[in-house]
Amino acid sequence: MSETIEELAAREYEYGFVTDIEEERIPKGLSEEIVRIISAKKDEPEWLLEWRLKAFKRFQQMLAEGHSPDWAKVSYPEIDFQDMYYYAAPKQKKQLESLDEVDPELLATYDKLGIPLLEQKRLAGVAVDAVFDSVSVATTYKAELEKKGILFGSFSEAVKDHPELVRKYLGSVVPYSDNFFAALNSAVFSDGSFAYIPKGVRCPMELSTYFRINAQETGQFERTLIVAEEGSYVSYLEGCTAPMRDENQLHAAVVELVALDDAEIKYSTVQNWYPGDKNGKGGIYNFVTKRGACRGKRSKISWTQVETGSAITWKYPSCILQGDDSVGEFYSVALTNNWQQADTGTKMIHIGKNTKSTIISKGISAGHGQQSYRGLVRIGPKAHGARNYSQCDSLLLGDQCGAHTFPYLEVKNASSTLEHEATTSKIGEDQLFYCRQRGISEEDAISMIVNGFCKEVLRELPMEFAVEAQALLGISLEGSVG
Amino acid sequence: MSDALKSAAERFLAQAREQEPTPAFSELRREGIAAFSEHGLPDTKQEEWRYTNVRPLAGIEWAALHEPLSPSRNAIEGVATPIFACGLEVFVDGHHHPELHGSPGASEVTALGTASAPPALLGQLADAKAHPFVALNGALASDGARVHVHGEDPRAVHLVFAQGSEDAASHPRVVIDADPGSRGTIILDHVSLAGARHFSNSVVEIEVAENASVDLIILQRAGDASFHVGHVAGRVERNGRLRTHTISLGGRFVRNDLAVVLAGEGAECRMNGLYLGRGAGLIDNHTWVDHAVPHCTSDELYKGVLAESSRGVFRGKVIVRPDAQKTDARQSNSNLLLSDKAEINTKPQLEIYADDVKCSHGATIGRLDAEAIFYLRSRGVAEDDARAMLTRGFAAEVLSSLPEPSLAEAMSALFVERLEAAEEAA
Amino acid sequence: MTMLEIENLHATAGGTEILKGIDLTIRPGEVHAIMGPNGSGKSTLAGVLSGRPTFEVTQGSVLYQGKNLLDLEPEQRAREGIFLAFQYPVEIPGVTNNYFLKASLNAIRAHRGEEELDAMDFLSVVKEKMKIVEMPKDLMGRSINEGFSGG
Repeated sequence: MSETIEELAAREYEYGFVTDIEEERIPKGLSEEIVRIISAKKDEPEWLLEWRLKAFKRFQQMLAEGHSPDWAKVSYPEIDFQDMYYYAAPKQKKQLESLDEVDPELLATYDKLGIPLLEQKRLAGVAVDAVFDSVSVATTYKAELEKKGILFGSFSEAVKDHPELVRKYLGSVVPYSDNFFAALNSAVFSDGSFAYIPKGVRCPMELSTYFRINAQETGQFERTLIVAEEGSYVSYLEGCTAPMRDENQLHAAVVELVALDDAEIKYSTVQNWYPGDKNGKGGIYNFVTKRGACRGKRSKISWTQVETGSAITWKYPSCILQGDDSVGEFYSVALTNNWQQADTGTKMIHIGKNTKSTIISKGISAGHGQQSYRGLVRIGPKAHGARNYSQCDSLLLGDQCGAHTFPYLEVKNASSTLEHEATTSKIGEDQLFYCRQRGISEEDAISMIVNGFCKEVLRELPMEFAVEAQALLGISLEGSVG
Repeated sequence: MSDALKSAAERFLAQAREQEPTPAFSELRREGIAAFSEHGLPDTKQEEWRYTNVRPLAGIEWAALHEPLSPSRNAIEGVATPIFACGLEVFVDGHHHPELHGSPGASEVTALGTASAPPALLGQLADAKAHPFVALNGALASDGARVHVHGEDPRAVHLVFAQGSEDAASHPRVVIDADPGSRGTIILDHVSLAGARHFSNSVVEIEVAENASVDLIILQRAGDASFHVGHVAGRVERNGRLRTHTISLGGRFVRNDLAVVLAGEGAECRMNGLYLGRGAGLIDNHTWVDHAVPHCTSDELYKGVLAESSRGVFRGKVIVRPDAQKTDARQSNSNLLLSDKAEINTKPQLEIYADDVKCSHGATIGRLDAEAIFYLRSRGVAEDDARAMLTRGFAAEVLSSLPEPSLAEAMSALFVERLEAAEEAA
Repeated sequence: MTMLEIENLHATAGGTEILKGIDLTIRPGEVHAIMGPNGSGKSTLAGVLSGRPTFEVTQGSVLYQGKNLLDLEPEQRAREGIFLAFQYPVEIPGVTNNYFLKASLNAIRAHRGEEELDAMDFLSVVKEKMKIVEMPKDLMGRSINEGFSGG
């Protein structure tokens, strides 16, 4: 069996190519000057620059006080924040009139990643914002969405076109002072996606952002903001890949979601940053702050993530359940292989009455992978009738890996109900034997069992992504699409 | 560390330097003082103390030397019922009272205050560097007991730790060594002689040798003003079995640490716990099971009932070391919140470095099951009685596993009595 | 005299009206079977009659042996003789059948003005009854409904 696992583990990273494109960079390093340069490049209003500078000050303070998070169960050498580029963008000759004018190299890159951007080839039913290093290079279906009043595109455009919306919501869910990496992101974020769904509108297609790191020694710091007005609905997807490089690259994103009364946001991630090679060399440090605020009554935010990439993953997509009867969900599959490390989970903060949250986390560890589920469920004194159900399961493939579970459950209301369960086990010998006895190869049997193990989460993904996610997990599709 | 914690630590250290250690404790004191001087009292920035602020404890000037009380045997029997007369030893405010001794029991009990040399196990299992209150105990312990379990007679040894003097602190130390193949039951019984405010900081080290089987019962039934910090460090060898029963029914501030290493293949550990929080009390249970070798089993069941404005804390950690294959580890923590002012923080944890394992934990927090209440009412039982019945049933799962039925009954009665007192107060 | 008289009974669960004006009269000695498809309100009716707190009566009346049944607490109804067999037996770990049955029997006896049974008398009654139905002895020491499945 171990050989099969090694084979599965040894699969090549498919997206490790580098696009040869002329890029514009600003000087290496981090300083107030750099923050000003980034802001100036984007021609930002004064208030945004001020906000960035406040964040930068806070970050410097945290750095000086040694506030970089040390509680997570991951280890990596100290990051030299002066030794990287904070802005890199493909050189653009002129203002683009249409997608057809996008640099063919870039179009080819996205084609290769399975994300065609051109009109005739683009994905049906999915609007894509393509972010390449520090900037958004293209957004599809923009006009169609605008007819319904839906705003979708790059963060930078949103700052220019809808400053009042950005100003109102930026930092309202994740303040710049929230944590070390959020402070860094707030100071130097370059681009990202912005989506705004007006009152009562059900977004007719999936909104999607595809993040690509290409440039060397560059950090990616994108910022996503999604606002769902009363009674609206949106399903948003993000995917990410990066070239294979020997050095580690930092990705520190911030995602903020706001759902008002009766609104629903479904946020799905397939994270496939370069994980490093089989000896643990290279790979992305994925240090991300994602949080959604269920501000309105009966609002709902649902996070689904499939985390297969990155050398280190540090992320806790969370829900603040403020509105009465609001609902938070977290569905996660995380796979750590070779020398990957992941410390991931969620926070469900119950504030309003009759708020409900569900946490389903499936961890798979192979090779020398180390994985931790870390989660907080907090039920405040006024959250009468709040309910939470958590299920965290870990599957171990191989005797060199580790699986850890660290839930924190804090309850201050006697009318609430909370249930948490966790299990850790290896892949069942008798299950494997049963499959093989019925003529299924060992590799297929493992895939099948792993797939079954993750099914509860995978079926939460939109169809297109579920397929990609299953492929990523090295899983055959036989009889398993939920 | 805050100033309050610092000055409290200074006061404890001054006491430690003032007193001449008894011979059995001289080495332990040296190490205890060294470790405590370095680490002091923990603050809530330390993960292990995240939910438990020791400030209320630090704010009181605990007395080291006090007028020894001389309670009668009757007084002891009144608060430590049922008395297991075989192997009864009584400590009052930390000092052994040989005149209250029962009759010799199945296991051999030696008082440490008058011993001429330390027992071999003393200081071997409890880590003063990692646990501030173990260090404090080491710095100030002057009496305690060694229990040597040798035969197959499982009759209980009953060690009563009674406190009665106002603001008195005691730091009892107990070592238990069970010979290969032996059986034993040891009860550590923390009681109050009066409603006085007092502090006990006990450390127990227990080694269960090959094929031995020990039940360790820790009862906290001291008064509502009492402070208690207890640490148990255990080690179980090949095919040995340790069962612990920690029943916490009283106190303003209770913190229990239970750390067990399964060190030999086939070793087994069962941890049972019941806690009842009342008034503004804090009850914190930290458990830690270390599966160091393959083929070991651990099974943990902790249940808590939190009434009034009490606060409960549970942290259960299971570590499975690399190569500790065929580990079977289970853990369960259930909590009943009886009042809107009550609070529980629970943190079950699994840290697993081997693959061929079966590990699980579960935690629940909630109120009494409405359907169960309705069922009982539909059979004619009044609502209040139904609630009491269900709460008692909730606790029964833990109490029924106590090896002495008379003790289970007495604790069940005390549980109900204290619960009712809380309900009336509410 | 009628035993049970239901008039224009309306009841809701979670804001949804389920019973919409039920009339039913049952005289002593009669056996009635209430039939209907899933979701037609059979369990709701049983629940309302036994006082299940999840249902709210919005209209109508229920007289049981001349008393207003809807005024009574569930336990009072039980003591008066309303018995609901649960479709999904409630498991109550830690509460033994022995303890529970004694509490239930004595509550009903007290309600009828009969003397409560002490542990010994209760045990002999139980032993006798268990013999009749050939129940295994260990059942009394078990927790309520543990190991039973619904149906």
